[in-house]
Order: sequence, then C-alpha cells, then structure tokens
Amino acid sequence: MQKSLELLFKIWVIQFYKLNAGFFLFFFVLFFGIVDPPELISYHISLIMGMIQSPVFLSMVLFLWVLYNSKCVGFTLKTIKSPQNILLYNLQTFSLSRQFLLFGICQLFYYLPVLIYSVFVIVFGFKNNHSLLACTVIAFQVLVCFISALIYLYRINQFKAPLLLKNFSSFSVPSASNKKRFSFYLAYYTLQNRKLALLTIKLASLFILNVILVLNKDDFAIRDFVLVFMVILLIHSFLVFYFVRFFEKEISFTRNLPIPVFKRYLVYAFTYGLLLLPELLFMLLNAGGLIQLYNVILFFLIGLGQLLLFTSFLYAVRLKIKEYLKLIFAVYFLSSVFLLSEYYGMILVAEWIISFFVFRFNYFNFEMEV
Amino acid sequence: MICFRDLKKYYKTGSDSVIDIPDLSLENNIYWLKGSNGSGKTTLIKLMAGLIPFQGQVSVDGFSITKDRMKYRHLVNYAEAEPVYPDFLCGKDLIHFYAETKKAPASQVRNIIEKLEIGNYIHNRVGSYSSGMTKKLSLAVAFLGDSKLILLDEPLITLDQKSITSVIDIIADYHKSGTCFFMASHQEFDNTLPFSPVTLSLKDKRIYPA
Repeated sequence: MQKSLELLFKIWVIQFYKLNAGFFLFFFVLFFGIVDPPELISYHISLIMGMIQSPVFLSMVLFLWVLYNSKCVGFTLKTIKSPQNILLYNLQTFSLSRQFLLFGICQLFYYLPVLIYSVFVIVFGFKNNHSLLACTVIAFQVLVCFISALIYLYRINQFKAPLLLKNFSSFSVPSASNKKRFSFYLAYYTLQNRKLALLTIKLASLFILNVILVLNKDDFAIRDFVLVFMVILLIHSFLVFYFVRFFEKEISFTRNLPIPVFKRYLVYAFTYGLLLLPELLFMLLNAGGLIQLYNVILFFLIGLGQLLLFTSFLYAVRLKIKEYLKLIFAVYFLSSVFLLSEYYGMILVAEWIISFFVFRFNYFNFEMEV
Repeated sequence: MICFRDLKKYYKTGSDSVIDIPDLSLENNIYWLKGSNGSGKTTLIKLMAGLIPFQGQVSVDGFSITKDRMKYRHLVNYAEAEPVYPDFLCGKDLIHFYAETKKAPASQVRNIIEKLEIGNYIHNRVGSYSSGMTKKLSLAVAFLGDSKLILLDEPLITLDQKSITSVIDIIADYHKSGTCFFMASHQEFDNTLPFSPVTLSLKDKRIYPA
C-alpha cells in the first residue's frame, strides 16, 4: 500500500501543489506578507476570534473552505479522467476500505493548509468556552474530507454516484446557442475554470468594502479607503495572472490572427471592467456622502488601469510569478503614495498610458518559458 | 515568396540557437519539411506563424512578420500539430471567430465544413471532441480567408483515411488557386497523392533540399 500511496502522492498531491504554487504563494503573501511582522500574531488572533464570536463570519469562512475543497476535488477528478492516468483504475483491485484509506490520506494532504488553520480555530474555541462552535468545525472538516474521499472512491470504481456527489464541483458555463465573442473569452474562462478564485476574490473584496464604507462609516477617512482599495486591487492580481496565462497558453493561436494589439489590450480592459463592476456598484450604493460620485468613477477607472498595469508587467516578466509579485507590490506602494496625495487624475492617466506602452512593447516579444 | 533573412531562434539567452537560417527564399509551391523529433520543425512553423518571437526576418510576398503584422497575419494561416482549444467554446464559435478575423466569405466557410464533414459536431463543445475531430477543426480554420501561405504542422496525424483524402484534395485545390503550403512532418510524404511536394529537410538548424 505504501507504493500506491507514493504513486498517488506523485500524481495528485504533489502535482496539485505544483500547479497551484502561484495560488498558494499569493494567499501566503496576502495572509502573512502584508501585515507588519509585529502585528501578525494579533492580526490572526483577531481573525480567529472573529470566527469564534460571529456565526455569520464563521459561515463565510466555512464556505470559502468548501470552495477550496471543490478546487481539490475538481483537480482530482480531472486527473482521474485524463488518459495518461489511466493506470489509476488499477486501484480497483484493492478492497474498498483500503482504497478509501488511500484517498482519505491524499485528501488530508490536499486540505492541509485549511486543517492547520482549523486546529487554531478549534483550540481557541475550546479555550474561550465556545465548545459547540469548536465541535462544529471538527465535524465540518471530518465531513468535508469524508465526502471528498468518497467522491474519489466512486469515480475510480465508476460507481453510479448519487446526484449530490455527481454535481459536486461540476458547474460550467451554460451552453448558449449564440456565438461567443472574443471580447468575452476571459469572462467565459473565469466562469468555466476560475469560479473558486472569482468567488473568493469577490467575497473578500466586498467584505473589505463593507467594513470600510458601511461598518466604519462614522470614522471614514479617504486615506484609509485609498489603502484598502489598493489591497482590493492587489487581491485581483491573482486573477490577472490566470488571464494572461490563459491567453498565452490556451488561446495562443490568436497570435496568428490579424487582431490589432490595441484590440487585444482592450479585451483585458473590457474584462476588468466587468470584473470590477460589483465593487463599482457597491461604492455607488454605499459611498454616498463619503466619496464624491466623480471620485467613485475615478477610483473604478484607476482600478482598471492598475489591473492593466499588472497585465502588461506579466508580459514583461514572461509570467514569472516571483518577478510579478515584486512588481505588483512596487505598484501598490507607488500608487498608494500618489493616491494619498490625491493626484487621482494624474495616476489614472499614467496607469493607462504606461500599461498600454509596456503591453505593446512586450506583447510580440513574449514567449512562455520552456 | 517566403523569405528568411538572418533568422535565429534562441530559447534562452546565452544558449545555442535552435534555428539558424542566414538567407533563404522559397517560391510558391507545396513544401514538405522533414526532420527528426526535436529538429526544430514545430519551432520553425510557430515562428513563421507569428506565435513566438525570434531574431531576423520572415516575409511573405514582401510583407514582413514584424513590420506588417496585420497584413502578414492576413496572408499566413496556421494549424498546429496537436491543437487544443478552450473547452467552453463550440467548433462553430471558433469557425466564426476565424472567419471574422480572416475575412472569410460565408460560402468558403460552408464549403470547408462540408468537405471536412465537421458540420454534425461543430455545435458541440470542443471539450467533447476526439483528437481527430479537433484536428479537423484546426485544419478547417486554417483554410479560411484569402491566405497566400498555409502552415500545417503534422497535417495528417490522427486523421482517418477519408479525412486525409479530403485534406489532400483541399490542399490541391487551394494550391491551384495560388496558395503556398509549408507542411512539417517526421513522416515521408505518400507518393501516390495528386501532387508532388518539394521535400525539404531540417538538419543542423538549417533547411536543405532533401
């Protein structure tokens, strides 16, 4: 069984972490890199206490964990389906309990980042006399891992799955009879392949906006809002990376088509417009009296400019994640400084012009690393 | 018609070039480029298609790949060896997209769909296609528009005999009306076909008559 476990680790767990290295690095930086080191522990303690004290907050976190798990399950099912992994069906020769044990171990390793964080939540729950809540988290995590291992078992043995298991993580873009326009390719791609990332980012972004514009309404300061808005854009940089990778890996054939560079640039701009629409609507509905309407529109356009800048930098650094992270943090600090000086118009124009020229210069020199 | 000038392709700065063609002109014809695995056939085809950057110059009918980007891409079509498309798209989405960008008339689109017999599945998502079906779709879109050069990488792999015959017929028809073909394969060309291509060989980074 040890050899089989090693094989499953190579095909599933290691590949999962390798393929999602950018995802993990991004969230690691977000959770541990942005906050000042001396405040790091108190920051996480307050997050955990928030989960323990607010059932609504805990429900949101549990939902995000389910989304993360659907990423793990989706990856595993895709791997089982791929022709090069047909050897996995040989596992059918093991007894069901043995298979379940193997899949359960792999699931634990997929889910490890969440489990580690859960341990702290559970410990703090018991320490602060919220035993019921702590037990709920334990039961929840056991259930998630159990169901996931069961899904793998059903798929490997090709059992007829109950409807609930069958539909787990199988949402896809509805097949529309009308033709799909090039300008919407990134939007379709997001709905088809990056649902989890989109949902997580939107929830996090709207949660942050809610804190600054609604919960903190009485102590609102434009300087705080600027910094928070920059963090929201930073969160979106993760999707930007996937977009460029999709363009250059999955639809690289478009490079052979007579499409002007500015039109390719506009496809990104259009997608970012759609992407930041929830934030724009939220600001329009909740920022009345706090931020002028004119400035809300400016912030939206600055947001688009910033994402376009991230895009053009990805072309410049050939999609290398480390270089990309360095650049986006540099942009974050520079933009924050300029925005705090309230040079909104200047930064807007600068972002759009720089992003277009960096994009134009690097687009035809770009090549995926071999 | 196809001109290569000081063409060099490096994958990493400081490493050896994988393609090195100082000066070469090819007249309008059907070319069959042979070469062993890893000899650089796909790299050469990809750079001619404008998919990857390189040093030097490639031009078709005097239009340069770097200076006349739009015109060049109107003139040069490309089908890759093992095509992969986003699975949320249907075959017809791709055909419409290519037809629109390459300015292909509706009659040409209908004609290609009919000849390659892909009409019964182009409404389905690409993700559900077999490799042969995807290959036929990629060949279909490569035949759209008013191209002067069509680049085909391993054009006949994964196709059934009937489809091979259809593709060969289309190539012969297009060539009669003035289109040049540049095909790459590790296989020998079948001599019983209705045209005899000029066979080239890619060895030691350069193109030689075979």
